Amino acid sequence: MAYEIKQNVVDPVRVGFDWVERRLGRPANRYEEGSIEVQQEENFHYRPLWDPEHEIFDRSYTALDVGDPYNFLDPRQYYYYTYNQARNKAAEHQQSTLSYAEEFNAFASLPEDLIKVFAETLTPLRHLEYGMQMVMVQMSAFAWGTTIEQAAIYSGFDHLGNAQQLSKLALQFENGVEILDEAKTQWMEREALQPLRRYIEDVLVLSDWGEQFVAVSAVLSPLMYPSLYRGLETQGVGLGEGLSMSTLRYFYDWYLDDQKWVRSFISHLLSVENSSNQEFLRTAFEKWSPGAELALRTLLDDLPDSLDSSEMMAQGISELQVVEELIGGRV
Amino acid sequence: MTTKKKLSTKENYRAMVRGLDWEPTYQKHSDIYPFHTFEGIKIHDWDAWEDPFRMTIETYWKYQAEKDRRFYAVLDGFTQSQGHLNISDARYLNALKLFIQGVTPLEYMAHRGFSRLARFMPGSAPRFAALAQSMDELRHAQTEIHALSPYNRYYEGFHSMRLWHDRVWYLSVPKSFFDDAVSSGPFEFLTAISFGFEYLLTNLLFVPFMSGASFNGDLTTMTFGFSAQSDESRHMTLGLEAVRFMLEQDEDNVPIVQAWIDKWFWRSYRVAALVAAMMDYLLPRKFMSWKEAFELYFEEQMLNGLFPDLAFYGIRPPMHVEQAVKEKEYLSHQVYWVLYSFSYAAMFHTTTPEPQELEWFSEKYPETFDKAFRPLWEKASSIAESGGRFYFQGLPQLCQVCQIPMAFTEAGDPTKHVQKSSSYKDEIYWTCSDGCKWIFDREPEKYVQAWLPVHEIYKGNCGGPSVPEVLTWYNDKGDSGEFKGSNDDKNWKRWHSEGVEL
Repeated sequence: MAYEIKQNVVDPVRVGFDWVERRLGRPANRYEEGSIEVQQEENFHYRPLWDPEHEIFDRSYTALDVGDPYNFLDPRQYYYYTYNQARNKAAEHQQSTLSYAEEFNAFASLPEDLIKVFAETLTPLRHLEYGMQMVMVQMSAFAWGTTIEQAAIYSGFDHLGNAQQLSKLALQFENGVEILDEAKTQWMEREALQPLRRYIEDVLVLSDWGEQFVAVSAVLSPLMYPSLYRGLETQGVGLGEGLSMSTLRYFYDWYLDDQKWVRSFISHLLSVENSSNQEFLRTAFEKWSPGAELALRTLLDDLPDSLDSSEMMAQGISELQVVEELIGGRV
Repeated sequence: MTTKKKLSTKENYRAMVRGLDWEPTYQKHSDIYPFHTFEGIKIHDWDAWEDPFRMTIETYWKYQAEKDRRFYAVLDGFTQSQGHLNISDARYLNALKLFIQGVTPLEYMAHRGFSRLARFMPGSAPRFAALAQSMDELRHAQTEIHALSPYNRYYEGFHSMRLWHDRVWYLSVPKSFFDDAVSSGPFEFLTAISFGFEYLLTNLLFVPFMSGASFNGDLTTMTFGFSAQSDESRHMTLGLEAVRFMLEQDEDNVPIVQAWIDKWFWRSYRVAALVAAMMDYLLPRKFMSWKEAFELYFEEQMLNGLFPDLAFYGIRPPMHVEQAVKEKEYLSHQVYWVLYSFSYAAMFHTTTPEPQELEWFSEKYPETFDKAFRPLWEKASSIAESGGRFYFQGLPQLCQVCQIPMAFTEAGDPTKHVQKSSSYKDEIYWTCSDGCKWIFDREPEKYVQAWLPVHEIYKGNCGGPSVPEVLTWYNDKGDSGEFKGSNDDKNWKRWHSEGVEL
């Protein structure tokens, strides 16, 4: 038996906001309420002084046709609260992984070649993450439709979070601050990192956010996170260094979560009728994937011999192929 | 034994955040950051910008998730307990309607504007501050929508807030204000929004809605207000830091910043005219009069507090401020009279003030109310008592800059309307005040672009030439017009008479 409270119930007059009645016909959840038809759409008063060719919000900031942007919903249903909640949880989890590794002195006892991987390969990538952040934030500034730009700003914020988590890994070492300083020099000068830096700088000057999205989220990410982070973790465990190397799981888990909206957004783009989105996606994919592959191969080739870099590269390539199949192959 | 070197909070923050950006070599700096030079602001050392908050992303997630956990717990309780029945009176909802129609979309626009700064400002510290603010503004837009959503299920005036913000005449006042800011360069945007809106006038533009909520039993909006407080204090600090930074970097920046302060003071102050009307007329339980708020939050705290400090940098109080000081005696009355007169096309309800409110106005506005405004309300009330309703026939002329109907009068003469005009490319443009005229004359090529609702109605761009056609285009479903006898009024009375009173 359950106890029964008599509730003061007043029947509502309407099910929800106007668009809820038009689009759903059922009460909206909080993700939907906070995301659908939120962005201003018409009667903008002034052209931007910094770009008089466009309206303040303008579909033509990309050659993609986003169609009805609210046919795209983030499958993770992240609005501000649920986003922060999910990331807080992931960060707490990472902190406990780090504390556990610290308790067993796992970073200090790493063999030289793996310390080098942290110092010279992973730590410089905090700068790459920073650049990826800027790209996603640009998408958030210019994309048409709240559901789209919202997913982009969270992704951008995540990339900055990744940059800081990489910094945190560097700070596990006694000379952490020097590692961070040195990593900047590596990022600027070391041969193995230059194709990657060139790649992200080339993406940063693009003005079409759709192309930027492909270059970062649909090409570089699928190549990099599975090969480098998942790959290093797997091989590190094989080398008996699971305690420290499992701290890389954070980045791979993040990638898996991020790709949920990325792939769902690609599917949305492909579903827009009478658009040339598929051609756009395939062309952009073909344009950016060679550079990304080169950048990653160069980086992996430079890893110590104790690691099987070709196995890692293969993992990235196979993940990239999944995206390639999703957009229907190359041109 | 630990291998980790213990860092202080400051060192740790520096290590995590600073130095992440780099000087590009494969692409030109100016191609990555193309938008900040045209305004003429000179910056010599971006590293001089200190972020006072030292918040890492991880800390941000933690704090914000915790704040929202508490906020949504309150919201769930409110919804479950039919909390909407506990507000002071159904008339209060009209203040909330103005808020969700006029302010919430601005939060969203601020989110997008700060995303642009977070991407294009050179200097990683201001970029990060802008990124955090972009996230915060998205939070505010969403939590406001969620806080007011339970009201929407029971009352008029909420259901199409974004569409109204894009279309309805009085909402072009806040909309054009923010469009003006985001269409400006990044430094002007910072001055307009971070300094002007968030610092200089926040207690007159934003906070009155929260105080009104507290005085009128509106739990969700009040909870939102308190929950946003720590975000807002970060934003205020950014505003002051931004202005100080520009002023300290180069003396040539001083006249540019001064002109922006002049412009954005007046622009923000004109938006606050709607808030003035809300404070004095839409709140059944009032927390202070507009005049008192202006004296405390602007004259005392800003004119006597902030500006003497800024004088050190060569910054003087904003132009036209003396006009605003004079207007405090009649601003709210004139604006609410406009809203009342054109209420047939406004998406919230208006009504004549109750007798005790008239007494309150007489007490708060001894110089002007009995002389200039009481007679208007007595006349409107007598029309209402005989079964009629006073509406102004026809559409008002709007100010080309602030877009408020041209209803303001000369200081000291409440019978004489101000009508300023400027000529640009053989056309005449009308403005409501010296402040708005000065803004127009400074950038006529910008303000001639304004989407003036009344002009657009006459051009036939708003659903058709007649009022019913325009109202259909507005998606008016009983949201406009007189409060007494409205669905809100009737439902409120019905819901409060159900149940047994002992």
